[in-house]
Amino acid sequence: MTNPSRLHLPTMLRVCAYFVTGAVLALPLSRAPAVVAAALGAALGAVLGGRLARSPYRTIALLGAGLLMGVLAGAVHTLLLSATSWSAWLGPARAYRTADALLAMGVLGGGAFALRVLTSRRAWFAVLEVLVPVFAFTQLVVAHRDGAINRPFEIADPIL
Amino acid sequence: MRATKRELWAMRFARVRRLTRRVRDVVPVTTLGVAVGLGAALGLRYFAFARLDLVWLVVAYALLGLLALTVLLVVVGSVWLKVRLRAPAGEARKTQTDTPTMTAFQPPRWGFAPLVRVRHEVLVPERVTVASPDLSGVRDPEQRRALEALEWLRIARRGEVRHITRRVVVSDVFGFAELALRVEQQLTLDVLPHPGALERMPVLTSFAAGDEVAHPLGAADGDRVELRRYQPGDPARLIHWKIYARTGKLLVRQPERSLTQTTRTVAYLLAGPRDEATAAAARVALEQGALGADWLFGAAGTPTPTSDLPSALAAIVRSGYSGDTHRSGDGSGDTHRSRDGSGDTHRSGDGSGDTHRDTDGSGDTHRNDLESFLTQAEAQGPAQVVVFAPPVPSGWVSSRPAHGWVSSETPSDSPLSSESGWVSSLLRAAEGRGGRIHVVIGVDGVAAPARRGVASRLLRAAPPVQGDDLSALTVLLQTLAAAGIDTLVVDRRTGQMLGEAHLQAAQEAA
Repeated sequence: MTNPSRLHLPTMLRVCAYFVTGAVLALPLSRAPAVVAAALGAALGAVLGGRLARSPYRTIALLGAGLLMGVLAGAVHTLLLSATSWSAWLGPARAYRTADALLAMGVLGGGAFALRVLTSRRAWFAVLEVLVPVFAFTQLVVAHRDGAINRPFEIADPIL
Repeated sequence: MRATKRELWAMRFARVRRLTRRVRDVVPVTTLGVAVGLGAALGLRYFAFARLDLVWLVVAYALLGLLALTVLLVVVGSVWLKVRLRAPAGEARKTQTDTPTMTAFQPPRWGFAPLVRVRHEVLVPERVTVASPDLSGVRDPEQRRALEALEWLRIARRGEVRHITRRVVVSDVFGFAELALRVEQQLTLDVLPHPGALERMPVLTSFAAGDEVAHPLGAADGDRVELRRYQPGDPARLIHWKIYARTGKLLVRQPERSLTQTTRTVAYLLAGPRDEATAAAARVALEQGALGADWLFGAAGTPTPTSDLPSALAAIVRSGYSGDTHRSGDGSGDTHRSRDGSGDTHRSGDGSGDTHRDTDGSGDTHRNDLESFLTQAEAQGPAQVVVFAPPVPSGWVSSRPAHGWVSSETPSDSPLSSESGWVSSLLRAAEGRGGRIHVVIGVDGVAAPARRGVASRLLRAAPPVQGDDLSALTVLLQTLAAAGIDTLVVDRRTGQMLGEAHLQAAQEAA
């Protein structure tokens, strides 16, 4: 019924928004490798979610796949941190950062995948696509509230 | 025909959906826009002002500003379109289904407008999509541009289209604001069913020849071989004088009772769900002369027999979507039927036939008046009867194939519980015309729903069945065969006649 023209620019912008949101969500919790991994995971999840939303798989199955992705990332994270051979091979600090990066990628990837599936299949879930980035950005600088404009220090210090 | 509970609920939901859409069409903010505006306002109230959150202050004002800007742009764009956009009236065209057809309407294309985009869809008739034309043969670039600027529609249902209602939607690229307006166009489009791969129908010709079939009401013909006693008034030249000389009894010769072959064919197209392929078969049969030289044709909505090709094709067109089943002008989305309030778009004859109401979204209603048609057609003498029938009986309940097809609107204790709708009228017609009724069923491929495992059912939605319902068709064929009716199944996709082997193979493939 509808004119079958497809706009690719919004699709690319959306993937960029997922990338940035993934990074912003991981920024207060992780170091740089994990932040990059989270951003990549979120972008990848958005692309995969958009594609699989057009497949005949049921929404609940796809949401389960997103959840499974996050759970698997958590399991791998736990496994790597408890395995002595892993830290012996990479060194304790690098092993910890790598495990963190895998966890961030898996969790953000799974979350972005599920969100993208939902918004593709049910238009009104697009509200979440707006609210999640807004909350991500505001939480990043939540320390400045109540007049504490010199906080958070990592952002305010270079400016002030 | 009374609507089933499920149909009633479907109609109610459809009405609510239409009303909701009407309301949304005149409110410039979408659900997303409302949610974003509300979120921004709450953010301002509880974070920006209450807790001096400067980020929330900036973000919320930015969102509210963007929302206001998009609403303004969409409203201005809609007003501009409302003033400028017109669809030319009076176009007259003959076309066929599934073929891009130009309507002379020039849809707006706004490549230049910032943040705003325009799209449009066709609301009436239903099952119409905006298509891209095949302009590979057009060399002149200017002509090509002119043709590309026009609207081309692909119509899935045959019928008479007398007006088109379009919904032109102006929205912003973020999805915050949207307005829609209706554009009406009066035109004359006669849409025939697409013949697909059906090119020739030789089997119908043999139906029409029918040399093994005779009728006692045939014209007096043949040698004078029968004898009877002389009655006053009999011509003396017919008296058998040799018998009179031998026995003294007056006997007269009389012509043998004619049992001549019927050379005339009467054909009728029954309307029903998924009847496009059947209508295409009727069209091909008429155009290729497969009904023989002497024929009469009628269709649902046109019970009066006709014997010329243009009128017969017009009857096929009328049996589909009808332009006089139209949406109300107030835009409420209500469908108005015929003026007598009967609820039928086409109603004629003595009222003994069944009314077909399409439940596949086309909304058209037709009366299958086979008995009335046959009575009129056979008043001129005996004839072979060819009935073009849909592949799905009306009222088919696919969950109960083991009990035969069952009308979903007929009580189970009714004598017609297993025979109602056009099938029962067909069976009644066959009773008095032993062997003279042949049924042609058109399908767009046949397929049975694939058997799926538990995991597949849980993870994947059921794939759409590519073709007509094989189980319904099988039961229908068995019912007709039990009544001694010859049936021919033709596949519009491949042009093949489907025999038992084909149907068996399709069943096994599922």
